[in-house]
Amino acid sequence: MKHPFANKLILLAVTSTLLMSAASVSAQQRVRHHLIDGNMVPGAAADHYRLGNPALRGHVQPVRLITPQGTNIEVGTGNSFIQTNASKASLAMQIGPVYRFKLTNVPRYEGQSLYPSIELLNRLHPPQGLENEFPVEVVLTQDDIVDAMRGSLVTKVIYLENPETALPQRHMADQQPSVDIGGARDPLREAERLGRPMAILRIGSRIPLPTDEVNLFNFNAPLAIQLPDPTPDPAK
Amino acid sequence: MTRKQKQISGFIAGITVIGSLVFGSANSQAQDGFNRLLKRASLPEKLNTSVLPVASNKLKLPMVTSDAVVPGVAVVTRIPTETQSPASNTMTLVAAENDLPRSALLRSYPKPIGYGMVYRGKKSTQETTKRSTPGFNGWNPKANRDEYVFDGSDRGVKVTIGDDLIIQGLETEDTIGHFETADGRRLVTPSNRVAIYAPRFGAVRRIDGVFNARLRQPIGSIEEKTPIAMANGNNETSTTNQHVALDQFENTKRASEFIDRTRGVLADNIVHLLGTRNSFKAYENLSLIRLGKYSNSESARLDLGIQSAKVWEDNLGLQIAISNTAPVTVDRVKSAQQFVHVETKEGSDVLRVTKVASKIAARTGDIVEFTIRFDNLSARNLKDVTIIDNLTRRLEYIEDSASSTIGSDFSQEKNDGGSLMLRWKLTESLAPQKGGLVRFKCRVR
Repeated sequence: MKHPFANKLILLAVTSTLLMSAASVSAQQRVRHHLIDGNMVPGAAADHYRLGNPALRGHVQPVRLITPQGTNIEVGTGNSFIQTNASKASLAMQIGPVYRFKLTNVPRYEGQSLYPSIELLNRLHPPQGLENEFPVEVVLTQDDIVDAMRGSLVTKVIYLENPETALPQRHMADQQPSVDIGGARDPLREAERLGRPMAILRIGSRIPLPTDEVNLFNFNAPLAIQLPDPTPDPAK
Repeated sequence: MTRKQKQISGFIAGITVIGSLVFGSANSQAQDGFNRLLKRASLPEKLNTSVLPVASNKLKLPMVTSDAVVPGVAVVTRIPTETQSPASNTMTLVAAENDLPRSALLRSYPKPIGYGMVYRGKKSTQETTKRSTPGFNGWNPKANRDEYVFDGSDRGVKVTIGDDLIIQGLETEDTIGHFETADGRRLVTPSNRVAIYAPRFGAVRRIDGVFNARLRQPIGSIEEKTPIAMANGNNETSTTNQHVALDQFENTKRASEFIDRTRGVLADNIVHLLGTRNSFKAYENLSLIRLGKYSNSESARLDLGIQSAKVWEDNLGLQIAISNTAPVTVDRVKSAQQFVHVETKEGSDVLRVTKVASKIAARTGDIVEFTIRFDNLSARNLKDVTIIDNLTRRLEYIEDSASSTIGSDFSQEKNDGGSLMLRWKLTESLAPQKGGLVRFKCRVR
């Protein structure tokens, strides 16, 4: 004997199933619009990071800029560049400003200068007293320099690797695993997928013209003060 | 002239005298820059007090507060004065302003050796230090987990041992001990979780090229002159779209409290015999590791590693579960070395596994030594005791570095994370109130 409400119950079940499946499909098809991306003008991404996290405001984060051996790093400040006489420099940077650097004596391009910029996006939280020992490492390779000298703009988003998905490989000191992506993809999105974006390095072959306002070329950034180098490990 | 103005002008005059004494040989342009800085920054007397570095190359600059300067970065250089010997390590804070004339400053001063932050206010230095370092004191475990390499505990799916000794749920980072009880049950005990600060960076690179693209598109030459027949009427705007500014940002919210669920601990004051001939290393010099006995007097020394250990979360605390009994969770974090307090009851079979690491922070390539101590806290023999450490992918086991103070068969096999699973199987039963140590070394990669 058929229950008097059997048909109604079946109809209700079918209807609710259809509604639930439709809701899940619409959720899957939802397109995400990101507030920031890797194509924004220098400084825009860092501004958004700083606005979204009060702990980033005013924080001075040590950053280690590593360039090919023999290169001389100069730090942009105001309307001039300060020599460091080193190819590796630890610098105190803030999140928000864009810092300009000048590279001279670059291997294979000794007579020319390059002007990369670094935009810091996030900070680290090392144990107290070890701030200078664990800076954000930004590595500029010879490949980056060759590409820049050929007239390309190289954009590198430095990210903090997620230890649970990190590559189980050891890399040499002063080297950094790098992933090349195509021009249609967003480097900031890719970096977010692999870890936590920490900085954006941009390098091209543009040089300031004599008519350029040097302060503007240097993004009017505050001085990136040079810090002591990390203590070398005696065991190595 | 008011009293405050007199003070400021007197101070500026004093600074100018000191500046002229110290930098008498500097060129006139640099001197002008320095004078401009003094006029603009109006450095108060407090900023000229010397600060001592903790070491010759490490600067420990207390946070400075002042209403007289714009909050910002302070530059610190080494300036010998007449009252200081040349060998003195005393540093002097010379400038504090975000908008200082940097080029002139840098030309006129020696190379900066440090930096600090200047905050607005009149609090004492000590109070300011507490207030002005929220990042370090107000830890945000969830935000900082990616800066650490973890090893130990039983994360994710709980590890179980089947009747056929097949291990299920063993993930990377897991460190467990398992054993067979006198009545034939097989129990699993996870160790505590060790955190090592070891951030590693990668890069995503994109190359944008510039290319020439010429496109000639001729104009079809269309020309038509349509005179305006009539223009009449004044239509006023009926609607206006107004930009509405954001009135709220969603910010990250920090944890405001830690739940402390330390339970009463039964201390039976039994000195455990180890029977080991190995000497202990500096990081193992804890009575818990040496004797299996917790001592309150060591808590101060253990507090040194508190930063690393605070990454623990409530549900990641060490748990020891014996079948049909409530698990004992340890979530009171004091240091990188965790204590495991176990309340035993008559008839229970309890294996305690404690893990310590030689470092709380390591760079890529550094070698970290791990020590795992295991103790039989029950009153019966534990059979087939096996200690397993499933290494995380950032840790690379150094060949032949494993050792044990008790007879055991050591084996290793590759795991899913591209690292190794280390296993020590004791050759004999573990007697009541007996324990032992296993040690091994890993390179952080």
